[in-house]
Parts: sequence; structure tokens; C-alpha cells
Amino acid sequence: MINHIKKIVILLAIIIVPLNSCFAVNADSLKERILINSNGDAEIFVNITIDSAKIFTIKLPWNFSQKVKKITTAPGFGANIITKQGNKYLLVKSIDSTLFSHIYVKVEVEKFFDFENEKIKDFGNYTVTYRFMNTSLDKIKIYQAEIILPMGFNITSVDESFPEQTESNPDSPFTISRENKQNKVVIHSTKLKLGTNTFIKFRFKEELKTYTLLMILIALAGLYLVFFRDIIKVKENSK
Amino acid sequence: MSFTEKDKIKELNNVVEDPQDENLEDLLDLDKHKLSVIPQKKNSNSERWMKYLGLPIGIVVFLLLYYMPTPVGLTLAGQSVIACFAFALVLWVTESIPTHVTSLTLMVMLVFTDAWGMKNVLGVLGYDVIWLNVMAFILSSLLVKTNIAKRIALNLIVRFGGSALTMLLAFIILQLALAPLIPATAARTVITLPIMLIVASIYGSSNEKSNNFGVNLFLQNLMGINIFSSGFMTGSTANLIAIAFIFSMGGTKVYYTDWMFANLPLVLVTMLIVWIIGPKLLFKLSPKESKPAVKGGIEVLKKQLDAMGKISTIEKKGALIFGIVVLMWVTDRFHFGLFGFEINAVMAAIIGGIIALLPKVGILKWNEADIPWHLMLFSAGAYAGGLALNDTGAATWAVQSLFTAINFDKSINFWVLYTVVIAVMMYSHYVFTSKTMRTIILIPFIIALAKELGINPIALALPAAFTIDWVIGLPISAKPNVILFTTGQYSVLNNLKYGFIIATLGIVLFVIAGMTWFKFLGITP
Repeated sequence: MINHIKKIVILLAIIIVPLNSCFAVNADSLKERILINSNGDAEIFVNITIDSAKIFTIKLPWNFSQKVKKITTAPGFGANIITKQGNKYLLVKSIDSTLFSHIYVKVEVEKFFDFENEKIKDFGNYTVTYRFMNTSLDKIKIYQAEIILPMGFNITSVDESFPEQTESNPDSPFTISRENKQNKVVIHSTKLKLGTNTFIKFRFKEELKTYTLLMILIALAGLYLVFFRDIIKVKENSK
Repeated sequence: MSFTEKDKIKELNNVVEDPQDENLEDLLDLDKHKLSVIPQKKNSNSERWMKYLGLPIGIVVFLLLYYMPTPVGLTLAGQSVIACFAFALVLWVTESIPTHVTSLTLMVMLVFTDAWGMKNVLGVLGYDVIWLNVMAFILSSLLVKTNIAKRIALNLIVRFGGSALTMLLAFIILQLALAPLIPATAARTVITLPIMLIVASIYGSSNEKSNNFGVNLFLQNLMGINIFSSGFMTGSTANLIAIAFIFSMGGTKVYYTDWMFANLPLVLVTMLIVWIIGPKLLFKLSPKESKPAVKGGIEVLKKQLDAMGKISTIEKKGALIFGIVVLMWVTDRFHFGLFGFEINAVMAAIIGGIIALLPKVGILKWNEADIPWHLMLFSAGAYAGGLALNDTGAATWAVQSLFTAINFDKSINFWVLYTVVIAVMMYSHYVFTSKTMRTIILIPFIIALAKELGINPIALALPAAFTIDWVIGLPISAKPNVILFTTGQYSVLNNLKYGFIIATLGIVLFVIAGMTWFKFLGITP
């Protein structure tokens, strides 16, 4: 009888331990860096720091639908994209559990932004929407996503974001900045529990501005100075 | 005005003192000085040059800001808004084209430069401030038509109007008395607006022919309405938000009396300076402007007041309608308990407008309501520019860039830091049209900065919070400013000049108070 119980316990342990290693993980920070190339392909860098090191496998949320070209990891790791129940995950494995305190993966994807087929809206703008859903980690204390535009493009406006800036949450959820002459938008969020998400929608376009407006306005200023000379002549006339 | 009343005034006007003085009848007949009619104004030589060069200068400013490389941290839309707003500001100040045409131009530019969407821009005409403006003029017309405004104005002048200075002081005292009773600044503006119009008219200032008395009266009231709000913790919602931040992030609870004892003396000193500096220095009153511009002077006004006799039925009816609105404004904090919902300042004004215009019940016909639509368009366009500055993050970027540019470290002298914080907070109202937004962005930042530098957050955040209601620099800086500007009694340049000087003096006063009064109260180290 005791032997039977021992066997059952061992079997349960074999089943439960790997499951635990996949699900009950808290992340101190998860940072995604999406570097969009001029052809629309992107390099996505995932950096995660976790607080429990006794695991060999981790499933990270993967919220990108694009075709993966190549995955690169730090030495001692392996990674691939898996799909389970309709959700995509970045599965990272390692033979050494102590390495798991910090994970770094680079994923190259095709056509993150399809410049050729994407609809150009008013004033030459493209619209990007990115939603990060925490589909696998127990909690992410600090989450950050950097979306870096190709050289020569700039952010027109950030139209929506979640979380929003409110009285109770006065910090702006996003920042606009520049890195090596490339413009980027960074969205940040804290305490992202399993099932919660963060979101940004922004417009961007080429930085080049048409000089037609410049010409028209200079001409307008010149014409005004000529045709409205009477404004300063009134006094002389009245004399 | 009844026929016999007119005769009495004509008789009184036979006592001629100054040939340049006007008939009281003409001055009090606001139908002759309709706000909805755009007056032709004569410009001085310098004003004509400003007018001539304003548009080209505005265009150059726009082009420089629009075509310069986009600064780090600013979106393209934010850059466009800054360029468009600067262009409009130059045109409003120089009056190169009429102010309402500039506003319409700004609206078009915001859309065409991809700074702010068309729906947003056009939607501004539906904002509460615009509705409040429309209702303000309907209620004002009601008080003018029923002679209530005239009676109150004449009473004020007879009691205080021996000189223009005492008249101006009477209005400052009136605004001080109203401030703790009615937190909504726009409501206070609407209440006092018709009286201001009549008093200004008696002192010879109308939208057609404004004089320095009018400029002082309207701008001092603008400052009184806004600055007195900062004397009381409940003076505005933004004050309460700031207090909540100081408690939640700074760990210090500020009570109503703490706020009032600390800031009200400063506010009173400021308003005293406002009262003196305007008529004595900035917009000097000529001897003619220092007394009522009426043939026969104050005596005629006294007789006119007597001639009005007892309060008529129509006056009582008008007072009742207006009283209902004022009652709704004063009791706003009890509405929820009484009705289960709150009637805010705009809805109360609309209810007043409905009663006033209702056939048989009301006393005003639509054609009698004097609404300056051209100035409503000015307000809408100008407000669109201000809101776009907020919405695109341009205002936040401008203020935060300023803070970032100054390299704060722990070795910084407290008083240098204090002065910078107060100055940034004070001047930031030029780019933010929302006090709430300004508070949400700046107060947490100031608390965090204080913590980082090892300073008690209250030493910086509370004095900074005291400046929230100092929104005095531009006609779009706050709702009272928008409403008062629509009277046409002063120009954008007048507002900019008076507002900037008082805001700057305010910084000096805050620094002095920080070193003395606030130190005594234990706010500053």
C-alpha cells in the first residue's frame, strides 16, 4: 500500500513540477524592445528578470502574429514559439536553472509593419496598435515596451493608451524619446497580473515636410505687406 | 425705462458740468452699446504698425517653429500645435486681423497641419465654457432689461463711486465675499458681469469706446475671481486634487484652515497690489476717467437712483429668476443629497436661461438677448488651441523640458529651487488651459523632486499648489477670462501685460512669503 502511495506521489510530482515551472512565475521586469527596420521587418528583444530561479522552462507571453525568421538566445538557453489554446508563447528552456534569473531572447520577425500594403491615412500617417497581454506569468512587476521607428520617421501623436493618465495615476503611461536618431515610443505599466494587458495606439509618418506651405505663407506675408500698406498710411491721409 | 423716468433724467441732465460728459440716459442704454455689434476703433500710430506687421511676423514665427527639427520628446502634432498657437498669439496681440478671424484661422490651421483632428476642433463649440458664455449673456441681458443691474450698479456707485479707485476696490471686496460662497469661478463672473457692464458704461467705457477704467475694472475682476479662489482650499477642484497628492505622495494632511491661514494673507496683499498698480501705473486713469462720465456727476446718479423708486414687479421677477440660478450655484454641494444628482454651474445657468426665455413665465425675448457671437467664435478657436496644447502633450513637454534643462542636484540651494518651482508653476498657465491637468502633471512631479533632493515635499508642493488658480495671463487661461474678454472692454495685449506683471510680482511675493510667513507657519525650512 505504502509503495503504491509513493508511486502516486512520484507520478504527481513528475506532472506538477514542470507545470509549476511554467505557470507560477513572478517577473520582476519584462522589457520588450521592438526595432522596426526600414523594410518593415522587426527585431524584437525580450528581456525578463524573474524572482524564482528553480525552473528549467518558462512560457513568456508572445503577442505578435508575424512570421518568425530567427530566434537568438543567450548561451545556455533555447527558445521557440509555441501555440496553446489559441495563444502564442515564447517558450524558453535551459539546462541550468540558476541561469533563469535573467533571460534574454532576440526574435526576428517578418513584416512587423507592412509599409507596402498598409493603408496611408490623412496627412501620410500610418497607424500602429500594440497590445501586450500577460497570458502566462503570475505577475509582472514592471513592464515596458519600446517601439523604435525606422530612421526618417516620427511619431505624429499617441491617440490611445492603456492604462490612461488619470488623477489616481498621474504618471504618463508612455514617453516619446529618441535613440541614435531614431524616434521611439515607450509604454510602461506596473503590476500586470495574469490576464491583464497594456495597450498603445499611435500614428507616425515620414519626417519630411512639404515646402509648398512655406512658399504659400511667404507669398501671403509679402502680398499682405503690399496690399495692406494703407493701414500705416491712415494717419498721413487724415492729416 | 418708463417715459416719466426718461423725462426726469433729461431734466437732471440740464445741469452741465463738463461738455465732454455724456447723457446718463445714453450711457445706461445698453441697447446703444450692443456687445454683438463689432465697434470700429481708432488706432494709435504704434497700434497701426503692430497691426501692419502682425501677420507677417506671425507667419515667420509659425514657419520657424513648424519647420525646425522636432525636439526630443515632442510629437509632430505637438510641434504643429505650438507653431499654430504662437502664430495666433502674435495675431491676437497685434490685432492684425480681427481676433475672432484669427481664432477661425487657428482652427483651420490646427486641422490642416495635422495637429488636432477636425472633430476635436469643431467640438470645442459644444464645450461647457462656450455654453456658459452664451448663458452668461442671456442672464446678463435679463438683469439689464429688468433694471436690476442698473439699480445695483447705481447703488454701488453712489456708495463707493466718489472716485474710480473706491469703485474698483468695491468690486474687489465683492469678489472676496463671493469667493468662499460660490466655488465656481465662472458663476461668480456671470453674477457680477452685468453690474460691471453698467458701472463701466457710467464711467464712459463700452465695447465701442473702452477707456482705462473699463480695462482696470474688467481685468481686476478677472484677477479677483481667479486669485481669490486660491485663498480657499475649496476654491477650485484643482486645489483639492493638489491636497490629495500632497497627502498620498507627500504624507502630509493639509486642512482647510491651514490653507487659508497660509495663503489668504498673500492673496489679499496681491489684490491690494493689483488694485493700485493698474490704475496708477499700467492703465493710468485720466481725471475724466476717474469719475462717472455723466453730466451732473454723482448727484445726477443719486437722483437717478431715487427716480427709480421702489423695486418694480419686473425687477422682482428678474431677481427671482436670477436668484434661482445663484441658489443652485451656492448650494451645489447639497444637490446630491437633495436630488440624487448634482446641478453643475453650466446646467444651473441653462435652467436660468430657459426660465428667462420661457413665454409668459420669462421676461426676455430672444431678440433682446445680447450675445456677442463673434467673441464666442474667438473663445471657441482660442480654447481649441489651448486644448490642443494639452491634448497633444505639447504643454507637458514644454514644462517638463524646462525642469529637465535645469540640472537639480542635492547641492542646490533651497531658495533657488523654490523660486524655480514657483516660477514654472506660475507661468505654466500660459500653456495649460486646464487647471486640473496642470495640477495632475506638475504637483506629483514637484513632490517627487522634493523627495529625491531630501526636502520635505510640503515645502515645495504646498506653495506651488497656492499658485494653481493664478490663471490670469491670457483670455483663454480660464473660464472667467473667456467670459470677460467677450465684453470687448480690453485687448489681448492688455490682458497679457497686466497678467504677466502680476504673475511676476506674485512670484516675488511667494518668495518673500516663503522666507517669512510660510517659514513662521512651518511650511518652508
